[in-house]
Amino acid sequence: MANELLDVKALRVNLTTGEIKQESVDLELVKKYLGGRGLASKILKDEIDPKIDPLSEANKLIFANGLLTGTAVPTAGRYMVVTKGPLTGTIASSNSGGFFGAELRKAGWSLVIIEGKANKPVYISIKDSDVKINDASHLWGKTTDITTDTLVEEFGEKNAKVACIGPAGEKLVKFAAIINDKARAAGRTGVGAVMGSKNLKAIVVKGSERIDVVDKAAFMNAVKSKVDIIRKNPVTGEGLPKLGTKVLDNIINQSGLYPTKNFQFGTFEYTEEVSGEALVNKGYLVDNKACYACPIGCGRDVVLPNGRKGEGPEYESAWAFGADCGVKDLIAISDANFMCNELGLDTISAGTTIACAMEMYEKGYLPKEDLKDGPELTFGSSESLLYYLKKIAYREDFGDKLAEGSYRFADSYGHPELSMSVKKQEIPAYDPRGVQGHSLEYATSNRGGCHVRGYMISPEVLGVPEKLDPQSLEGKAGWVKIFQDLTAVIDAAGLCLFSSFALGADDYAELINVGTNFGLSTDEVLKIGERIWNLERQFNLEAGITPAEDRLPDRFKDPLPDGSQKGAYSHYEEMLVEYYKIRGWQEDGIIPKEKLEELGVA
Amino acid sequence: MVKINFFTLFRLELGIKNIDIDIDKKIKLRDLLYLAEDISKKKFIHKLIDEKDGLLDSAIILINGKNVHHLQGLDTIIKNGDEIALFPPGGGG
Ligand code: SF4
Repeated sequence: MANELLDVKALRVNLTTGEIKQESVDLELVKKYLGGRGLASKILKDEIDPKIDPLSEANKLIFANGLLTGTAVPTAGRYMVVTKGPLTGTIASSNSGGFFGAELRKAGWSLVIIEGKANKPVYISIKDSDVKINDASHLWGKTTDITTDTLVEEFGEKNAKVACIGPAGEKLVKFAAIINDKARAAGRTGVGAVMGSKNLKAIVVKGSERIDVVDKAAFMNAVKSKVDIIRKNPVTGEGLPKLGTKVLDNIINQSGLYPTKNFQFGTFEYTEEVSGEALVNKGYLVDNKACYACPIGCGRDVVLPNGRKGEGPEYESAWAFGADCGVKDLIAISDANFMCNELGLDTISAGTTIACAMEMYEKGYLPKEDLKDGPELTFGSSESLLYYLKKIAYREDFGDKLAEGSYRFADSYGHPELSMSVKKQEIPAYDPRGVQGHSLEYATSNRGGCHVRGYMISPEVLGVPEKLDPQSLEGKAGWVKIFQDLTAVIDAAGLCLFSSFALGADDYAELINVGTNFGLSTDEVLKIGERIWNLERQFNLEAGITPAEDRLPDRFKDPLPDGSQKGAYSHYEEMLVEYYKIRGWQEDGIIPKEKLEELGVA
Repeated sequence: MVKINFFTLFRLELGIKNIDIDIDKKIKLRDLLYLAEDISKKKFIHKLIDEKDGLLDSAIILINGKNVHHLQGLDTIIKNGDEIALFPPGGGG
């Protein structure tokens, strides 16, 4: 079987009926949406009513490889899980690396569209075109590491790759993750709960076909030149390989943007204890790890003095369990990260939800009796962090309330203002008060609070591709739009966002063109990103998520009380008007019909 | 006295966490950095400044938490009591 790059195939698995269909995707659709987040969002919007309950049988769950996933293009190992998300009610797409996506593409599949609901736990096995739905009763309740090992063994292919849920997904925790390759997470937006609601425990895959491109020599030349750029760039060639994402702890803390104790403060006094430098100096870091075809290798291989080992922690995860919960114990923080991988939980939402509960407890809004026999929820308590993480995953006792995410939890006690979330998803590790563009990015993200829909930290703090003043509002709405559109392209192409520290829009256009002969200009490629962005927004509008939800928690209207950005507050509302205008939307944030027609979304 | 703190790869590769430098009068950042190289006997300026003596966009130099890109760059005046943080280009997320 030839496996051509432009032979985009979808596997449609209906878990209610057991029917398995193989489909080819129209090339015109590929030209308009590339793949991954783009193509899958288009399919989801066409096939489901945006108003459905995300955990109902009517929802679909799409595993979607990017257009270039599985090729030799640097960082081309990414896949996206697209569905309607239970945490936010928005369209949800959650990205992951590792090797699962590339293996799926080598089996010939760009998309796996899961429909319906199995009447008992099942897993799907894929060996090239041989696809089966199998009983997973023996795996139900198992952690992701055990599930993965068991399935690889049962499947009889030692290089098979597994994506699965842990107990958290089975228990429909609103921020449950899908974990592939044991430690890579499609973490955000609760995609794991949708998988659990379908009684689907796992997908195991083995592929055997390399992907053919039209002009192999030209393709490999382009690949080589981009690898060179990535290797020579100080961020992707040195900083990320040597320190991983935790290169950021001290940068962000010194910049006064390191959210501490549920975003009450912008600096954490124990950052030195928990930083990326500490992870190296304390001897916990053993090696770095790379995803498929990645010359960067930002992953961490860590062994703790207590014998626990695993991948991570990444910057966001370590911050969520560290500074955000006021915890300074790097061992507990790393352990919390490993636990989330095993239990199948999103680290950012898990840590931030516990931080929210800690603030509520300390403020007296949360009665001690509600904690049952659990430890007191005080900032700095690593004991309570590890205790409640487990309770959340199994929805036991007080964990059942936390499993709803910080917004629903805080709201149930009458204090929704203490949930640090946008569209009910917890925001990550940068205080928006000190970075105005990033604050607008949080407010307008199509999947709720998120830093990887247009990472404005890059120009506003890190000086890539150029240094912008983080407090200036001028031109920021335009920057946010371009970053959001470009990110959608990178996601749809199946590449890692970290490649963009070294590569620009022209590089991505070249890689797409050399693989496909699409002959797209850079502007046309960015237009694809804009199309994806508008399609997602339109889904949300039709789902009933109004533009009134393009907002940040009120806390960010108050000035930062400490650090080098003391006194700064978020001006996102002032930029929203300009942002809507630049996007070609109505003043009220609705997308006009003409815009949808211009982009071919309608 | 001015305190210079080294972070991320500077700290790991140069093996220094910070140095204190006595200055008797105000001094430009550029001159202070060269002085710090002399005193510490470590080379790090090439990670912050390009061949044309310009500050790299992705170099992060904070004076009391403020990025010098939005002050006067390498000409920013440093005075006694200032605290400086140096980071080679870095990023993550
Ligand atoms: S940069 Fe890191 S996350 Fe991205 S593909 Fe490479 S190893 Fe994976």
